[in-house]
Amino acid sequence: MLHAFDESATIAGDLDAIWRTVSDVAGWSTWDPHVLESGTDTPFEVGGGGWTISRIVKGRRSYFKLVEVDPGRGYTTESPMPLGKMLIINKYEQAGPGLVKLSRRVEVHGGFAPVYGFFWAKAFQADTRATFEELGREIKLRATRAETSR
Amino acid sequence: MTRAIVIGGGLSGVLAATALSHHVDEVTVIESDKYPEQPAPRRGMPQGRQNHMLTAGGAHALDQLLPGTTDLLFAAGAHKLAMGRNILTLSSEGWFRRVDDDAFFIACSRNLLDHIVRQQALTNPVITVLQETKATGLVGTASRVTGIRYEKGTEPEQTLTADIVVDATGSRSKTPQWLTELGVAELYEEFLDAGLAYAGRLYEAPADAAADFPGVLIQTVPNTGKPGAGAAFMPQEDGRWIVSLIGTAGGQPPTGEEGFMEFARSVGNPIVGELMARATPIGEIKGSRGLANRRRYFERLTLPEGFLALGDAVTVLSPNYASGMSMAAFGALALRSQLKSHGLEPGLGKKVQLDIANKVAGPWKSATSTDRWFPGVRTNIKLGKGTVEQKLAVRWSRVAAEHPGLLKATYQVATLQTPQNKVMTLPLMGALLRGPQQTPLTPAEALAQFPQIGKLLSSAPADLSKVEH
Ligand SMILES: Cc1cc2nc3c(=O)[nH]c(=O)nc-3n(C[C@H](O)[C@H](O)[C@H](O)COP(=O)(O)OP(=O)(O)OC[C@H]3O[C@@H](n4cnc5c(N)ncnc54)[C@H](O)[C@@H]3O)c2cc1C
Repeated sequence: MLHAFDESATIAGDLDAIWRTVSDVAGWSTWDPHVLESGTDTPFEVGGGGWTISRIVKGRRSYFKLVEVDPGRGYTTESPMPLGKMLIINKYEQAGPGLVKLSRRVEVHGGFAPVYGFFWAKAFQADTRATFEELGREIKLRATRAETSR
Repeated sequence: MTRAIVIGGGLSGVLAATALSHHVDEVTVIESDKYPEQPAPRRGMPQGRQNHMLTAGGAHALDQLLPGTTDLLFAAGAHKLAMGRNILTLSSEGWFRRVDDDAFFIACSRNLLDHIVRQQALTNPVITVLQETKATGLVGTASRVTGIRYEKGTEPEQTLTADIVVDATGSRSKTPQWLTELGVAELYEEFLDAGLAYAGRLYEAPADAAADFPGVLIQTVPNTGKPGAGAAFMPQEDGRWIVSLIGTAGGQPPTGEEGFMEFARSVGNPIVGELMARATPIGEIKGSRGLANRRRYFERLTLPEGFLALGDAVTVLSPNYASGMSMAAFGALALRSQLKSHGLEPGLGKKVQLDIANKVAGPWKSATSTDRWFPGVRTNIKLGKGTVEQKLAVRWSRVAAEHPGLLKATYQVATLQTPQNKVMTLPLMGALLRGPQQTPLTPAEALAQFPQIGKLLSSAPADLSKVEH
């Protein structure tokens, strides 16, 4: 069984800055509205991983493994789910000068997929839109910060 | 255009500003003091001259708010001291045995910690700090705070409007009075004052002291009929040591040269005095008094919208429990989590105060139920008899001194990683019921667990056999 959704958005910024921000797992919780806490002990590469506490499932860590990392262009995480797994496939591509298209596909595989679809998918999809919007803001903020500390 | 005002730019204030910075267009921090350019003492942070230790739980919260902060602290010379491996502890019920466990404290000067936190946080372009600016009141009504009054130097008082105002002015917060001026009902406050006082000094560590020299904690012992007396000795950055001597009403540590050393030698064991005698003092001995436990029950109040309080402005815990900075970080993290879930919508303040109250409840209970047993204690809390609780605490400490499992649980609680009501397991309960099974460690056996101490003392051996507890 599979439950899936896709979201995408285009934001101002350059691929390098976006990659630096999204591959900094410890920093996710500082800007991503979906992530209340996050952490990792590994480099951002296949075989590595980390954990998050989301605002959808508060008070509990969800662990993930990095199963695909294409520096600058995207990464995929895999998290265990009851009777299956969740894949989050993130992609970043140039969409014109100074613009980057962000896309995310979320797939829940296995017997839990319908339950997930019923209870949490809508909230996660809405959060993904919020994540994209905040990522745009964060990129601008980091650029200003770099500018002023120069 | 949305604005947050944070009154007070200490640890709570700077962390709260960080938490708010993603949810408003600008954050203005109002700080009455002037920040030093380098890690250094400042007038608005008088406690910064005493030993400060950050719990593992607090360190986690700090890194969540400002990732990489603890790494920067370690790079600047802060020490990561695992309670079981790197700290020699004389508890009320005897010396703790060394145990392989990761629960830790970070030991460094408070000045360094605050400096690095400011460096991390205040490059955020959303945050502006108005230094040497003093908040003098809140603006608004009993149902909504809309800003603050403030004064800077000799300029006339001004107002600044905001969508949210956070009080982070610490233990001397004027909020209870400011809220009453707006017509808000009186804030209920509890205090328990054991007359605790600190006297502290910095030392240059002797050249032959090991780089991994352990910390030493001689805990104050309640319920002996005598004032509590203890000592904390911790390695700091830059090859320094810090010593804080601790005493309760009727037995407060002196801040004069001679009395200071005498006091250090008179607590449960003279080891801290012996270490001081081998080091070079830096600067004067500094005293801190008025260290009562104090809790303001904001969560019970019908709070005006657009207002909340954090850190010592809410709860001051006896510094003996080394938890105030961690509570500051927990409070800011709770604020961030609630902002992420609910934004600035009505009820935010109440939700944050409830989260803080939940975090504070355990440490508050353990601080007040220990400190109540010191002679001369003053409190407005209606305390029960508490004798069963007291006996249980004594047994817990006594068994923990020899039982690795219970000791690890104790360290989990002390480093604020797990609340006390969550650490108990059936095997630990069994150990507690069985009671102590071994003879307590002698001072010589306890000290032998830390060869670094023995090596340093070997040049002029001292008599460390005395135990007064
Ligand atoms: C002797 C001693 C030892 C301690 N040891 C430890 C320890 O080992 N571990 C630990 O975790 N904690 C310890 N603490 C507790 C810790 O110091 C506090 O919990 C912590 O500093 C609280 O941070 P805060 O930001 O809430 O308040 P504060 O640190 O008090 O900061 C308040 C800030 O507000 C500013 N301010 C005040 N009034 C105004 C105003 N009207 N307008 C503008 N600005 C204002 C002040 O200048 C200050 O910068 C100890 C405390 C003491 C006294």
